[in-house]
Amino acid sequence: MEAIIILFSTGIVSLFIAMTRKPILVLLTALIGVTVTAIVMSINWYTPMQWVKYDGIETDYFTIIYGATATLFSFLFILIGYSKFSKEVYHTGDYIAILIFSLCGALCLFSFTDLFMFFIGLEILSIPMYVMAGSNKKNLLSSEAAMKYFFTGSFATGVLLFGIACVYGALGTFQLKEMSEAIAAMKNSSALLQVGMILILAGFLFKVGAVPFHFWGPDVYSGSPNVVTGFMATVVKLAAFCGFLRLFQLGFNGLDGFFVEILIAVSVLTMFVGNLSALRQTKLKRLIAYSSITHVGYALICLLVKNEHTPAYLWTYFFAYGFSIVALITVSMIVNDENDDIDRYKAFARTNPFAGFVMILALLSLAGVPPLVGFFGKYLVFSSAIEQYPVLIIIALINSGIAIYYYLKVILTAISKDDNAEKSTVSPLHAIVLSISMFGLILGGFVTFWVN
Amino acid sequence: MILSTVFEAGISIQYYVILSAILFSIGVIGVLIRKNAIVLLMCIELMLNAANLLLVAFSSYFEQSDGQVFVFFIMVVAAAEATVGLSILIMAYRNIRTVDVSLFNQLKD
Amino acid sequence: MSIDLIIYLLGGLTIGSALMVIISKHPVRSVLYLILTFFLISANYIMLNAQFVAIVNIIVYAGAIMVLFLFVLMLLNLSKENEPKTSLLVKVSALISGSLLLLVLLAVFKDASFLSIENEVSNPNHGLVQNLGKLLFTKYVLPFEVSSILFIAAMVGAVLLAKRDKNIIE
Repeated sequence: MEAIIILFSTGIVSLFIAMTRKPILVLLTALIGVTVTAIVMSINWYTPMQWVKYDGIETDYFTIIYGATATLFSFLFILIGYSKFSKEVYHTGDYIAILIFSLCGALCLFSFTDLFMFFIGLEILSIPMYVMAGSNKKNLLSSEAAMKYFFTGSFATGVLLFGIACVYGALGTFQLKEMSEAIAAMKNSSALLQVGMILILAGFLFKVGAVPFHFWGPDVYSGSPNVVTGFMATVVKLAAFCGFLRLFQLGFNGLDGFFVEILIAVSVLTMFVGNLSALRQTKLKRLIAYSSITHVGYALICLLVKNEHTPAYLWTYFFAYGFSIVALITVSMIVNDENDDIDRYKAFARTNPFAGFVMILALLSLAGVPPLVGFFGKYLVFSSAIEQYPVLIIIALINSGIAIYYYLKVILTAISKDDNAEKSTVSPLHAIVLSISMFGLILGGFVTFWVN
Repeated sequence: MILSTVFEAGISIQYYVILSAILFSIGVIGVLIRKNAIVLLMCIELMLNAANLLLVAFSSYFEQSDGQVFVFFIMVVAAAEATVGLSILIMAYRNIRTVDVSLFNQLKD
Repeated sequence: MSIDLIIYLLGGLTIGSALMVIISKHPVRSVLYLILTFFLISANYIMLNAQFVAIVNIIVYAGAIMVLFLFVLMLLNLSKENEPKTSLLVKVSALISGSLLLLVLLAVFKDASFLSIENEVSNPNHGLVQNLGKLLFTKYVLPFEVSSILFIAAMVGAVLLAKRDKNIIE
């Protein structure tokens, strides 16, 4: 709660500070605000602050871990994006404030206890992102991405809301606790509840971009400005997954029966469609988009496993995934190419050894190579599900194998020789972000052990 | 002022569930059928209204106000969504000079 | 009998005007039919004993949101001539998939059993402002406050996107 208040004030203050037309001040305000938020959240870990008690929100350990992770990634993305935001002096404050508001929505999704906060949080998360997708105002592709993201997103909201209305009709309450009690007390399953849950599930799959609702993903990811793509792939996905995991586990007592079959089918399809489409991509951001679809497929496995560690595994997965995306987005900002072709990265690792090294680490981590953090994410998720769903895990492993091919292709392009390659300039902010993500990629595994 | 509810007058809740299901489906068909982005947005509003009707019907059926409070939040979100959506539309119109969603096809594999 | 008739008539009119929204060729006509639909839905709310929601529905939807739609339509100056055409194939497939959705929903709801009224807090005045206000400012005060974040984000975003940049004007 305190964290949301501090973040919201940070957003407002940076809007006002932007009137001075000094982007650096806005950046400092935002960074200080986000850091204070993270600190306040970590204090909560040891001594829960309870100066205000509201219905609708509840802080537990997972709230804090997820919140700190989302805050960390937002911090990094604000840093990465600064070089772009500061070009338009009139809008720097707007961009940064909107990203911060979106983070507020993510924090609501980590801690809600009723469907009111869930729904409002989900919308606060997505509506600013519709705007940010189109923030490259004069770019045709950016408008198109915003348009597609907006229409698919609000269609999903409509479906989700009808689902919530059905669930209300079946259970007569919006509180997660009372919902799970009502379901437990129910003698025979209610058709209304089933329809409601299916519609909510469909809304969720739409929002995270799982097959068969994935078609918007690659277009939106490749059309949006780089920073926004990164933010969508990490913070938005983390928050949406956590929100729905909370809803399904706390509200619906976990998914079972018919829903497990749906989720298994969706997960398998998502992995295959994501991977096989990624094989023939020639643009880095589209590759990221398809690989993120695949990763949604892996992460969906978490929703299938019912035990108390699931939130921790899901967190590990997205924590690992996030650092790779941060590194890749930074690299694409450094190269700064309109077309974003992978060929443009030829000899990148030779001309910019440090950035190239981090890029290779990020790709290896996405592929799940052992000492890097991505391995731990995959390992925990797969090992938690292997007893219940052995076939699914085998399919997931096959898919990890396929994925190595296209990650290696990018790595080989990056280290190949090219005499004409020019050295790209790495701004200090980007260098900082790259080093942070390098530490995250190498040492993140230990952090996940500590948390688990 | 206490009005007797329609449910006491012999209308079943099923009637309202079916009515809102029909409205919802009309909204979905509209989203699929129309290509004008503004009409598309209107069809999404229709879908949200179907959910509203269902919530109000259940709230009246259970005789508790929670469902109607949820309707307010849906209205809040609908208003915010319409604002952002229309501004995205205006921005896109400036760039492409059309509101035909099928012409937004520059991004593809 | 008479109340039955009114309610069924209202339902039929609502469906009819909702259908007209998606059938009308001219976008302005669609907007007007949508406003009519909102009024009819408000009438449904009144029949359901939800008076305040009915008023708010008219004020917010028909009053604010639809005016915004009309305004944008006028601003972009769209007419019947440049209304995009949908191919027959798309129309038919959309109709089929939409009807299938409706069919599934109807089939499920036809025999569905509904939770009976067993709330000890049941209250015949539940739709009046007093009760809604009490609930909104006690139990649900947090979502109410948090929705201000949504509004300010939407406001900033709308201005950011829709405003013409200075260098374009010059």
